[in-house]
Amino acid sequence: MKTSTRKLLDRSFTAVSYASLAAIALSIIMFLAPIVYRGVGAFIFSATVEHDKFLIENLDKAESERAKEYIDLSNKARAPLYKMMSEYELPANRAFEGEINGAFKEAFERLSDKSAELLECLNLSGNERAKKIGQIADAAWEKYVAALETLVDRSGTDGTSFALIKILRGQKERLSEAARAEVQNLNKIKKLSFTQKSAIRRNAVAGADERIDHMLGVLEERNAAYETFKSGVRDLLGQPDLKSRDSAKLMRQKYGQTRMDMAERVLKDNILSISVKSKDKNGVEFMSKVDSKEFFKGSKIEEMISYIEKNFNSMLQPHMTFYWGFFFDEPFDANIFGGIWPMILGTFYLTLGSMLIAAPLGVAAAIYFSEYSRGGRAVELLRICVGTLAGVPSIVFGLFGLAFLINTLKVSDGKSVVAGCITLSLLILPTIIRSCEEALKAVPNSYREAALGLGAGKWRAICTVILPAALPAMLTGIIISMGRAAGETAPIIFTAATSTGAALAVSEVFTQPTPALPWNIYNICSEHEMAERVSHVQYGMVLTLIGIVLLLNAAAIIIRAKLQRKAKN
Amino acid sequence: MRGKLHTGLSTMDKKKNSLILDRHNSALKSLLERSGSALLFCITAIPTVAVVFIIFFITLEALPFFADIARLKEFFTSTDWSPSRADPHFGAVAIFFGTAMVTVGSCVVAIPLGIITAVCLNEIVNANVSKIFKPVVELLAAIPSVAYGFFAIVVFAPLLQNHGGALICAVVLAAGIPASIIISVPLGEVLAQRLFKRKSAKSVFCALLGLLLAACVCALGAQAAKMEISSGTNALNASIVLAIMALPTIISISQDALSAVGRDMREGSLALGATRFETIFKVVLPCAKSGIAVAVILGLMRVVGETMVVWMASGNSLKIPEPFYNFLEPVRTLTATIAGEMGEADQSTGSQRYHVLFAMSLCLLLGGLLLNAASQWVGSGMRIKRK
Amino acid sequence: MNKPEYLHTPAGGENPESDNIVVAKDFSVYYGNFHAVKNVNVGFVRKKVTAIIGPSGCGKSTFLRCLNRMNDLVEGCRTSGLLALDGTDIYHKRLDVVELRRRVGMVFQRPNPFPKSIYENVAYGVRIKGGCSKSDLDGIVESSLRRAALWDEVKDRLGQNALGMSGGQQQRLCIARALAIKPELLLMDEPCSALDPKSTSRIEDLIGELSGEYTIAIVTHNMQQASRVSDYTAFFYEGNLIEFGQTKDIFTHPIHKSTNDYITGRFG
Repeated sequence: MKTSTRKLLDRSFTAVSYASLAAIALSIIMFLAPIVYRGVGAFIFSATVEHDKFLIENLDKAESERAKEYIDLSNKARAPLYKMMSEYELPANRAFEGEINGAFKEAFERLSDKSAELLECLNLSGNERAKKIGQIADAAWEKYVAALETLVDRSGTDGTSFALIKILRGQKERLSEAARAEVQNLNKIKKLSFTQKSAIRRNAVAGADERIDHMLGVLEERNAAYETFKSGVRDLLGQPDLKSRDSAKLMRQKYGQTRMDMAERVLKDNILSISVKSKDKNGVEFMSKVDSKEFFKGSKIEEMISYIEKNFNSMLQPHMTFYWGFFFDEPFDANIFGGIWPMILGTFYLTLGSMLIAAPLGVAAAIYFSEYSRGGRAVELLRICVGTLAGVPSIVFGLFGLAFLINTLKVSDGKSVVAGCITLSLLILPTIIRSCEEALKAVPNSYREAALGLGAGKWRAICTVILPAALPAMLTGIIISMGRAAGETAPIIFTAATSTGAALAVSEVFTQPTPALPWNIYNICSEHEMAERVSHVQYGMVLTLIGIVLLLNAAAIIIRAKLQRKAKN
Repeated sequence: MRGKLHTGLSTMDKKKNSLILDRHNSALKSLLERSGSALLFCITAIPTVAVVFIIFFITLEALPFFADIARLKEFFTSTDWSPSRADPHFGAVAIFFGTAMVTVGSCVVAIPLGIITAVCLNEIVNANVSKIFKPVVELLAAIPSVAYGFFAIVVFAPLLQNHGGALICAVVLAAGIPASIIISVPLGEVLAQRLFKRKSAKSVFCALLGLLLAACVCALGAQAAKMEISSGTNALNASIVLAIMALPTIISISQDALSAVGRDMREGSLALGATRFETIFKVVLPCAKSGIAVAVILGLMRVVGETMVVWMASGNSLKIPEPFYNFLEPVRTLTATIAGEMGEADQSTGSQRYHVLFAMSLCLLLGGLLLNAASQWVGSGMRIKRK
Repeated sequence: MNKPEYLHTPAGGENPESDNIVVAKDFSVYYGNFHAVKNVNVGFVRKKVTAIIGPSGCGKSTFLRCLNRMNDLVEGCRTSGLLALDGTDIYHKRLDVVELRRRVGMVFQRPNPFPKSIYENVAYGVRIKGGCSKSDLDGIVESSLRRAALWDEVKDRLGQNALGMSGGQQQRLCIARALAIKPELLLMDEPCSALDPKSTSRIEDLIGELSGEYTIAIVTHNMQQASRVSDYTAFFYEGNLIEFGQTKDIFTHPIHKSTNDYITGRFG
């Protein structure tokens, strides 16, 4: 091969290797950036007034002046909206009921006037008869129905849809009554046969009835859309009054959006656009998103929407918050509100517990390997088994914990923190043994000789000279395994973790399972029914867990760096 | 005391007494020493006992399932996994296949990337960069697997689902075009030497070859851009995230192996006029071979035994993808099955479903032990060689 | 005790055998199959400095390390014959090794202070023995440091880490540390080999000062050093004790040819 080609290959290999370095750096950034950015958003965010309400009412936070002010201001801003809404939903109004009744009476009289014609029609046969009766009746009802239609048309703008629906339903009943009354009227004039009676009854009001049905359909559609809009408003602002708030079962129904970013999303997805039923060509119904201002154009609802849009900020009173309670508060309503304290505490218990078990054992075993063992097959076997234990998949540890600790030894009835700690300690034992052994081996032999030469016994020499000298390095290894214990999920699924639950007291660790960060991260990502509403909690939890682990590791790295600097000197 | 020592013979007997213990004391002392040593030995034996117990209990719980030959046959030959039906079926072929698929996928990404990075850190970049990069890689290793799983399901899966085609296209183009240009030069040279005599013809041929390869890559990329990915949680997602998880293991152990290769070897090769590339490929890598093999095996172990990432990212589908190499379809792995179904299996009374999950974990355990033995075997070979 | 023929006759009456603090009789050391020290017969005189010289690998360090049973740490090491300290068999089955090492101090080739403060280093041996009040301890530390000619240099920084001292200071600290437990016998295994000439001469002066008070056995490569500091010299060659006697005799009229060759620098 030519020299130039060889050089090119050399250079391109360098380029490839730099590229791989860059790819790894990129993947680290891609991985950490969203987690850090959005994770920080879990406790530093623009909060709404609902957040203050939640804190004051559930966590006994002192009601500060500012919070009071926010609440007052937001109530003031919300009042007009609630007023508009309650007016829109107002029940039937007598005045226009009377107007309708008048129209009805008039129409019915007009129909009665046409009795002779109707009776004439009865002589016709089949379709001809039905058509003729229909024509006569429709003419009679025309004015009445037209009056109703004007009302319905107007209701779009004056907000009387709710009242109208009730009235129209009432009118339908009166129509069928009217039909029956007309039959009796006619019967008085001339004895009718059964088929004649039914023909009258069926056809005298059919046209009007159909048109009212159509009106009802329009109104109901509009009201369903209004209800959707209203639930969007509830989602945004919470229950308007105290009575309905107390009756709300879930906290998410009680309070509106506590975070501004969520509130904006609700505004966009549930208020400015709503999903309504529509039909495709084949008449199959499906839900589709429509622009709600367009949909409610010209109605009172459009006014409400513009009001919300205009007064969005004053209704929610956004303000930047440092919600440290995210780490120290209990969660409420499936993590939608509150913090993640029980998970942090659970992780703390599991990590500390497994450390308390594994660290002394690991250090003791390392001392045996490095100071006592003199080789031989037995020691070789022990060493191989340490390696083997390190190679057991973590989920197998979980199953072992379940089969042995819980089902056989019965260290507790079902899952418990203690069972999890023992399982985790087995998992990290090999790492601790190895790192501690390395640390002990790194202690210069001259220290041992010097100590022994000064008349220290073996145990004395280990305790007073060798262990102190190896301590920083051993600590590094132990801290790193601590990070591992904090982050392991698979071993605690069957032995210690539960998805919900309060923070445990120390006395409960022997009997109770605990929530723990790693398990709850899985849970909140994969099995939460409202993943959208807790996405900030997801990120916050992950950031917390990574933060704990990385802090531990950073501590270890710093200790090691100091150690190396010392060794250089 | 010193005074006494120097007074001569009269104190000799006393001195003798103080230096040589009487029988009783000596026995006591040696007993103490031995019991201390025995205690330490017992503690040291805990991992051994744990390994024995783990193997014993997993086997014990798996045995009731393996006792039935028909079930056993079904387990290894059928793809029908319906454990909750009235007449349950436990065919695990699809699950084994999913495990294998995800493992292969992540190896394809992690092994070359990991080894090249290790080489780069050890041989190419200057010490300062690798001093910064090494702790970063270690931190990457420390990040809990559930965080990777979170990334896979919350960040990566939507990205893959919505912009998957474009993403794959970008990767193909970014990796393919430089690669095709680089490959075309030596390949073109070798081919041209056979075909042409004139120098200009050779270079034209090289350029044409490069263009051809690049065009192929572009076509491939265009094809990829059109791809529709139905679900973001699939074998590709799991493979990539697992690869990122396995990278730190591979990088740091390979790097240790590389740095153990003596400086004199490199200098010898460079002094003979080899380029750095040739030195690395012909001298350094062969010397560090077994260390790198250990790194790969340990990385593999991490991938096979990993639970959370595959549980969250692989999509948990019980089908073998169609065609079988389609990485864009969801799959399911052994670990995910165990983690996902143990909660539903009746834990204490020991239903069939409970036992079949233990059978799976026995397979997993055996695989892990095998890999571990392989790594120790390769590693011991390395140690002997170095001696 | 029968006197082996290779021993110089001690100067008349000056060295009664009963005053030998260390007595070896047919003493051998094996490392596995390797016979490192072969049937040595020797006696070290109380309160005198005995130098052990010989080429590398001649077994001189091995012999020295047997005196406080440091070789127990070496795997596969075993001994035969008799080695006695003050009439007590060092390799007695029931010997209290810890007590032995307390009585036989040792200074190693490389200075090996503990990574603790200077004070803690000196106090270490006294502390593990126990039964010593704080003021006693202060006294012992001071007197040991004085005796090691280190007190004036370090009295203001007793709390500082011993690893911050110079090599020569560290080695003197190790001597002070050994002196603090008042050993009957002080072993020095090439104490100056890792030091610069200036520190070496300080240590040599120190040995001279200590020689009247302590019994010292020093292994050295340096012929001048042996002749300067020691009262008696033992020459080892290939595991055998070739010659033993007063230093001035050995260096002026060696009996054996190999001794002569060695001290005149023909080999080694």
